[in-house]
Amino acid sequence: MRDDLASLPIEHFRAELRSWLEAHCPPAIRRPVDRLQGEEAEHWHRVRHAHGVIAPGWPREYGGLELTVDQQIAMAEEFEGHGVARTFEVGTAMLGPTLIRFGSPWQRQHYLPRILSGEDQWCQGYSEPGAGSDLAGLRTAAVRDGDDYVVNGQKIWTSNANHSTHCFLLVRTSTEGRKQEGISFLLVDLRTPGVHVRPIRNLAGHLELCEVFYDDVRVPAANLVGAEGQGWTIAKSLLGFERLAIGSPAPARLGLSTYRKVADALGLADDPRVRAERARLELRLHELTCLSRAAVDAMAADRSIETDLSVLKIVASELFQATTEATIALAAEHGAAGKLATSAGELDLAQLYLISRPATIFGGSSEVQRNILAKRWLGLPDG
Amino acid sequence: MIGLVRDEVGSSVLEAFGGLLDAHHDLARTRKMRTHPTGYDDAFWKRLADAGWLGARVPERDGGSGLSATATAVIHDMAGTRLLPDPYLAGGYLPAAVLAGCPAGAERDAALGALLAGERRFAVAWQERPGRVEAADELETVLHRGRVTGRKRFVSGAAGAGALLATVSNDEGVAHIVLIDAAAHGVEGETTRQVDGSMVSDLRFTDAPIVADLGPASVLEPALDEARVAAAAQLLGIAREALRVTIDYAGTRRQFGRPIGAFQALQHRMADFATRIRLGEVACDDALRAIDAAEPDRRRTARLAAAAKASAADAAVQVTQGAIQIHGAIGYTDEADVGLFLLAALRLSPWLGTPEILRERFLELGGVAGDA
Repeated sequence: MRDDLASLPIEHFRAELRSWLEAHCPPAIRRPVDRLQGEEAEHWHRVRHAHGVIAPGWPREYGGLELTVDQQIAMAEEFEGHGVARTFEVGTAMLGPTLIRFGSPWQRQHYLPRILSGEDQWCQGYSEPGAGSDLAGLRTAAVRDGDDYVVNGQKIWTSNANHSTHCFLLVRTSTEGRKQEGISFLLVDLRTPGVHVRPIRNLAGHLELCEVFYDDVRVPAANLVGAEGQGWTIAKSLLGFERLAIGSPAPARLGLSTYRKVADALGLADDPRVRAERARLELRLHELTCLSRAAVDAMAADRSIETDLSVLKIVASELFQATTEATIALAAEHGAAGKLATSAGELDLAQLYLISRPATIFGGSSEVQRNILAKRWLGLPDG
Repeated sequence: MIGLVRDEVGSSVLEAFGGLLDAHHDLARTRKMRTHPTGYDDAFWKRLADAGWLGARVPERDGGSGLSATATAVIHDMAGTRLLPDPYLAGGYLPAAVLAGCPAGAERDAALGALLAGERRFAVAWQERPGRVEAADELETVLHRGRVTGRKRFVSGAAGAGALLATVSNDEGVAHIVLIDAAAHGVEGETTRQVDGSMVSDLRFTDAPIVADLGPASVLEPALDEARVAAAAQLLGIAREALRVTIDYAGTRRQFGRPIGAFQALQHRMADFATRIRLGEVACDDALRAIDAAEPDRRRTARLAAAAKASAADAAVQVTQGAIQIHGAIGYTDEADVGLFLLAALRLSPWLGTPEILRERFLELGGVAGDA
C-alpha cells in the first residue's frame, strides 16, 4: 500500500482500499457473517501487516496509519463493502491504544511491535462468573510477591482465548475502599504455568468464548499497566474510534440485506406486508446511520459523545436483532431449518439470527446502557 | 436533551422568537384557542407578521428574511415545545413557501406581500384523498375558463383565511396552482375542530372564479417537503417538552418512599423516549442539511423529508402517550398540561403523510441506500 494513503482525498482513499482488497483479500474470507479465528485470522493479519494496511488508528511513530476518524470509518466501510469476515482486533484496536496512552516505555517498546506483527495474539479478560454487569465486583486476585504478581481466579466469556498467546486482565489488587479502586490492569502470557483455557460452545455452534482459569500464575510486575488501582480507569477509557465500533450500523445493514434476499428468494418482494416491514426497518437503519454520522462528526470536532455512545449501542444492537428476527420470521419453515437456498447461494439464516442474540448482552447490556442514560443523561434519581 | 439549535443564526432565532413567546404566549392562551372559531388569534398573528416571522424563510428579494431551513427549524421546534395554537406552519410557512416558489407577477407579488404583512391569510388546498401525499397526481379538481370545480379535503389554516392556493388540473391536464378568494361565489367550506382544538376544512368548489393562475403546481412539491421537515421539528419539540415535564414530575411525585423517577422500569422507559427523540433529531438534521445544500437534489430532499417526519411523528406519539402513563391518573385530566402534548402530536402526526405512508415513500425514493 502506498505510503501517502493517509493524505489522499477521501474518494481516492476509498478507491485505493477497494483495489487493494480486490487484489489481496483472500476470496475464502469474504464471508461477512463470520468471525475469523486461528490460522485464517493470523494469515489475514500477516497480509495486512506486510502491506501496511493495519492499525489504522495508531500514531505513525508506533507503526500505525494515523488515520482521521473519518478515514477510519471509510476504511471500515470499504472492508464491510468487500464482505471481509471480521477479526478479533483486540490487540490493535484495544490494547495498542491503551499501551500508547497508559503503558510504560518498556511495555510500549516490547509489546507494540509484537501486536503489529501478529506475533502476539491478545484477548480481553474482564468478566467473571460472579462479575458480569457488575464488573467492578470482580474477584480474580493478583498478590504482589517479590518481582511478580501471583494471580488466582477465573475469567469467563473471554473471546478467542483458545487462539490467543496473551490476555490483558482486570485483577483485584486491593479489597480496601471502593471496589473500583482496588482493580489493576495486568498483561498475562497465556502460556504461563497455571493458565487453563476451556472453550465454551455457543448457540451458533462456535468455540469462541472461553473460560480461563488462573491457578497461582506468576506474572512479572513489569506487566502492570499504569499504577495499582488504576485498572478501572484504564478499562473504562476505551479509546478513540473503537468506541464507535460498538454502535456500527453494519450488522443491521447485513440483517436487512438478508431480509431482502429472503423476500426475493420466496417471491415476496412485492408483498405489501414485506414492503411495510422493509420500510419500517429501513427507516430505523436510516436513523441509526444518521446518529452514527453525528457521533463521528462530534468525535472529530472533539465534542463529547458519551450519551450518544450508549444510545448507539442500544439502537444498533436492538436493530440488528429486529432485522434478524424479521428475516427468520419471513423465512417461515426455512427459518426452522436455519438455511435457505437461493440463486446466489445458500443463506445461513440461523447463524445470522443467533449471532445477533448476544449483541444486546456484551459490551454493556441494553439494561445497563439504559441505566446509564437515565442517570447521566436524564438526571433521574437514585432509588 | 439536545434540541435543534445548530448555529449562531439558530441561536438568534431561539432568542428572538422565544422572546416574543415569553411576552405574548402561554399555555393559558393555547387552552383558550381550543374553542376559537377560526384558530387565528388576530393580535398574535399581527405580532408574528410585524416581527417578520411569517417571511422567515422567504428570500430577501421577495420581502422575507431568507433564513436557512436549519435556522427556521428552531421556530417550529418552539411552536412544538410551547404548544403554539396558531396555524403558523399551515397558514404562514407553507403558503409563503408556495407563493415564493411561484413565478413573480402582479397577483403573486401582491399576495405574498399581503401574507408577509399579516394583512391577508392563505391556506394551501392540495389534498383530495386521505392518505395521499403526491401533490399533483390524478387531480380531480379542474380549472376551466377561469373557474374551478372540485373538492379539497383536510385543509389546515383555511378557517379564517381570506384566500386559497389550490392545485387544479387545467384543460391540458397539467397541474397548476390558482389563487381563489375564499369568499368567492362557488366556494363552500365545512369546518371541523380537531383533537387539539385547531380547525380543518373540507372545501367544495363549484365554478368558483379564480383571481389568478400562478403557474405550474410543480412548485408545491419542494414546499410540501420543507413543510414536512418543519412539521418534524415541531413534533420533536412537542415530544421533548412532554418528556421534560415528565422527568420533572417523576422527580417530585413520591410513592413508596421515593420519587417515582427512581424506579428502574420508569427510568428505562424514559431513556427509550429520549432515545426516540434523539433519533428523530438526527433524521431531521439530515433533511435540513439536504434542503440547505448548495446544490439541492430534489429526490434526495424528498426522501430525507419523508424519513424525518415519519421518525419525528413516531417519537411524538410514542413519547406523549408514555408521558401520560408516567403521570398516572392526573395525566388523564384536562387540567394537567401533559395531555395537551398528546393531542397536539395526534393532530400533527398524519399531516402531509402518516408515518406509514411516509415510510413507504422513503422506501420508494431509495430507502436507506439512497438509490432506487
